[in-house]
Amino acid sequence: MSKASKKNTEEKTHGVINNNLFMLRFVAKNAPGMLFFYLFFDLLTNVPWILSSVVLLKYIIDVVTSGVDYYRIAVACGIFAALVIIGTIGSTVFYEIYKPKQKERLHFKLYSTIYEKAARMDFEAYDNPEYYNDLVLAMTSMNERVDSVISDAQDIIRLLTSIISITAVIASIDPICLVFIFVCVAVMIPIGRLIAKVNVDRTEAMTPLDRKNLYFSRVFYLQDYAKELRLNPAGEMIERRYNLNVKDRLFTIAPFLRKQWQLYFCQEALPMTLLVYLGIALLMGYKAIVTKEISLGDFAAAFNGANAVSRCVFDLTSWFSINLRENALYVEKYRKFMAAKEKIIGGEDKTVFEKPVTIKLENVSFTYPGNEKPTLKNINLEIKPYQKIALVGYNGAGKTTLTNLLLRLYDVTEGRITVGGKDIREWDIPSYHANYAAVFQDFSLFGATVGENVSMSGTHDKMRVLNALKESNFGKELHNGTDTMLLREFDDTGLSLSGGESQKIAVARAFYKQCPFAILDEPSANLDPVSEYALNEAMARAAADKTVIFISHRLSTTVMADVIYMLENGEIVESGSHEELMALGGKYAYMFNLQAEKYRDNEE
Amino acid sequence: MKKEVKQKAHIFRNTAFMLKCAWKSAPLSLVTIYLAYILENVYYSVVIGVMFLQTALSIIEGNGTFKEFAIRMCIIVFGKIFVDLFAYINMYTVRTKFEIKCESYINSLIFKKAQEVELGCYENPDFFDNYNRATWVVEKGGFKRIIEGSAWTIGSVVSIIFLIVYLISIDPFLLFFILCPVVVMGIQTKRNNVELEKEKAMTPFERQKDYTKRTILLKDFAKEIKTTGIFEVVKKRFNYAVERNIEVIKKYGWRIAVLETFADFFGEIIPVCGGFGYGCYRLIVLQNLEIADFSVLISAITTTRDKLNQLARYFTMQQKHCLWVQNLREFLDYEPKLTDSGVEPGEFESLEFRNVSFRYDGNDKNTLNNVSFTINKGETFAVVGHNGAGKTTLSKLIMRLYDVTEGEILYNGINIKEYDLLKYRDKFASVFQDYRIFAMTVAENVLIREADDENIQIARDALKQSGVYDKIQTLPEKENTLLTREFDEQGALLSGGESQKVTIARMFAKDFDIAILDEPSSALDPVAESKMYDALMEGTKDKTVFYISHRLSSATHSDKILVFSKGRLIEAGSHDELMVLEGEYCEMFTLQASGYREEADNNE
Repeated sequence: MSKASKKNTEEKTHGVINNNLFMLRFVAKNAPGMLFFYLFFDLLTNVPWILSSVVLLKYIIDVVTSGVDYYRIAVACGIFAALVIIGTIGSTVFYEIYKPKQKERLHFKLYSTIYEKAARMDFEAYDNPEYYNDLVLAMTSMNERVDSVISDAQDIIRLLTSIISITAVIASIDPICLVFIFVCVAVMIPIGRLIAKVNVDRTEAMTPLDRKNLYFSRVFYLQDYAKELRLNPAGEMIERRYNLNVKDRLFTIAPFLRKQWQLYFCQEALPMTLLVYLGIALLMGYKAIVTKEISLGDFAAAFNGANAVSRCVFDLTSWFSINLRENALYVEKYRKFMAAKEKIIGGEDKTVFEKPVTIKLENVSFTYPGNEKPTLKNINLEIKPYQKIALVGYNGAGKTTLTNLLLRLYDVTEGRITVGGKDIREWDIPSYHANYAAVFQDFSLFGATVGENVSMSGTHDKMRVLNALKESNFGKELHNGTDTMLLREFDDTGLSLSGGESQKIAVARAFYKQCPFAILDEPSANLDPVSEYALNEAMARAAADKTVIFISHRLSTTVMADVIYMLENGEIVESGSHEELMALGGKYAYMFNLQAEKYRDNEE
Repeated sequence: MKKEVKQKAHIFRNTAFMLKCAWKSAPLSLVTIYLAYILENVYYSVVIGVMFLQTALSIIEGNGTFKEFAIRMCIIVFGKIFVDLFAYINMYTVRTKFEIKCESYINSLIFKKAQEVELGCYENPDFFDNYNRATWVVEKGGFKRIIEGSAWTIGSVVSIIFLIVYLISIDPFLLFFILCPVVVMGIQTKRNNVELEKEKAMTPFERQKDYTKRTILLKDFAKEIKTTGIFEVVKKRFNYAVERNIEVIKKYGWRIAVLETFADFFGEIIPVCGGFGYGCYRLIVLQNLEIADFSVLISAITTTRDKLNQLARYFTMQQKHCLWVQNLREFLDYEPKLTDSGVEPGEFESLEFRNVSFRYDGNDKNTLNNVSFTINKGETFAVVGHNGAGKTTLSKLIMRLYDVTEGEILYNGINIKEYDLLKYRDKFASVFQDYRIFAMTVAENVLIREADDENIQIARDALKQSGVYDKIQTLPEKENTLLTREFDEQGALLSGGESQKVTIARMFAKDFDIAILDEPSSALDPVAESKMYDALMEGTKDKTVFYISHRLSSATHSDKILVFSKGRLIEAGSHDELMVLEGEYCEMFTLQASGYREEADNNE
């Protein structure tokens, strides 16, 4: 665990400031108006307030003690009031109208970058916890993070402006005050560092426990588990574990909490209170009472100024140590995510075949990242144009993996795959995919129109969609034709489909797409016998002008295949037509007979 | 106007509820937190903010000695150090521990309720929405903010009272300026209501944005996104949601801005500028105000302004968080619809469906229509039918996951609503296709209770029976290996088939009267399926069994087959009887068997 985290910190290449600036640049590029307002107009509305207790007060007191000039005071107050009014109206319009719109657009741009990257990244990345966590983190928190980067930048500029202007006023009264302030800052910064470290350690120690905590909540919350909990009453047991975890959390966090309050106390109480509050007050008091070097107005200004400056410095250090660091942490993840290199990179070739050509797997081996054992070993097979291929085998034999390789969701570890004699790695990836229609075992429907769900693209031909649906025996009425929305995500009248109907939509995709190859991974797993039969019939029709690679558990559907490949432990153990394999009397025959038995029994 | 009153009552009642929870989970900490907030607030805003400078100025103005000045300054500053100490201990140690305790208390309430409510609630969007927001009370820290906010509010109110008393003691006329912001409260509330309306208008689009996020995030969608053009559609939907949000912002922004400007004018500009001006007038023109008092006036007004501003912000936040609490309360107040009379169920003799109809909440058609049948001890029933014919619903009704809409289900001749729910369900063992694995050890997943030396043998036997024992033996800790990666990156991940076998082992480890097997072998390959079928038959020998499947081969040996179509029981009888009948079942069976039959013919 600690090794891993060490490695992480080593990998980190960008500093805290660098990361915050990176995000600010992104904002500056995509919402420059908003950023400008945030950073500079805000000064106009807030700095007068901060200065009022110092400059305005001194000014008024000086005027009063040194002789009266109503006119100048009235002008000063008037300017102040005008600033406040303009600032207020301006910032209201900004915060309520301009900013929300800009922010919405900014988030859109930010998320578009994430989504596009996610769509491009390797399929494998979903199985890589480290990378996937970065994605989750980027997705769930970047909108809040970009907001806090902006507002932190705003706060820092405001604080810096205040500190500089007030310090200048104080320095003009008595430069020695500056020494107090500098010493104070010098002491606070290293303590701030320590605090930041404790914060990080605390988060690290608590993260696994917090994750457990979330899991417990999720078990009760998710519908999937609700049924399980009612039938297998594990609830009590989970509650008990939850309570144990609470104790664990209390125990683990205690030492960090102690360190935290001690450090914070040392940071605020000692340097700030003693040096700035008390130190400057006594110094100014001495000069006002004993040596009578400074006026009453000067005293008040320096006194209030010291208070204000120490507040600002304190805020600033905590901002640096907590907020900016936290921002940087997330931005770093975002950048890491965005900079990650895809392993599967397309080539130049954009060929989309009109007619099927030969697909060849030559000595293909494949090992999933992180696994020791190969999932596919030395596979050689040739799929001729228009052939119907069936892949059969036990669970985990490597059937789905094979189709994943064919679709270039993964790249082979050894050997190569060629289509029409060309290595598939030479293709531009979207063009390569244009050659295939695929129905996956774990297909998904999207919250989009029926047309979009069948064509799987932004545009579609209505007639062809309807035909494809008809071919796949989709029977539901579409109240809005191909523009009928699926799922309720975007439309309350959207269609919710049963498992079987959903499957038919997925199958319709294969009918719709005009391409030379089709990959059908167990497409009838969800269907009842009648639909299954009808679908197999339809599939045979649709497949007439395509090369088909077909995976099924139910061997009755593989009978129609030209060549059947029986896989076991990642190797092809038998191949041939159904008749040949039955005659061989090997594993396939065994499997087939096992299934057929029950039907045959009843035939007599 | 009425609405406003209701909104306030809202805050009050929900905060009270939250305080009650806090009081029950950690009363001492709660008191400490309140004290700390009040002390902190009063000391900083009254003593440091106002009295500090006033004391200094009045000593200087009144020609006091430096010693007197130094002593007074030290007292105030050391007082601050003491308050700081208390505040930091409170903030880090007391509060954080309190939050963990209070969180676990609220979570326990939620967990208990989640187990009590009927399964149908999880399918009811309103209920689920409520549940979702109820969890925000914990997960998004709603309760923390409410407790903290209420403590902070009281602290602020106390210090504002002090400040006002201070100001009145200087000049009662100042009260006029202070009261202005109070008048504005009405406008503020209105503004907040518009804000709420705006948020409500944005909710559906926010949901859509969340959906697109989910589409990208989940692996389920990844294959399609990578191999087709559907990503363009997803992005289009995302963009659409953003544009709609911007429309909402445009619509409400101006109203909010106008109200806000009014509020600012009366709440800030008049009191602050007015108070300043009046102070100057007395100081300079009337010359009846001491400089020390003038400084008090200025700092008291500025501090009061800050406090009121913060209060308004807290108020808005409090409203939002109280809404979540309201959801939590509604969730906790929900009366489960499945009630029972606590009758202890005896050993199983018979189960009868008498004219049972069932309709899911919110559907306009019955899922089951007038179903009647009786199953006796030791019989095996197969339930077959098309997708959506109502098979799974039947099993849910038997186990009383839902109550029938019409008719009744009798267990040993007594309506199942009479029996103690948990004990009744305990009579059944069930295997479903949508099983779940918990983040526990293998043995615990099988036993659904803590594993110890005694019962671990039961788990082992059950695993052997379901055919996954050998695989489990290859895991690092064998039966005691933690499943899933929820808690531990090293946790074991099983394949779909293996996971299902573990859940099937639950049945073998249980002492049950009736088994309900709903597509238990859907994730298995043919050989494993066949083995599983034999194992299930072996394990349920002499028991009463409901076997739900659309693979008809498994139905042939049942005592009775129930054929469902569109929610009706259309045929019932043994395989031979139904084949003779030449009805729906016969047709389905013939179709499904055809693939195998041809083969059987060829083989002979």
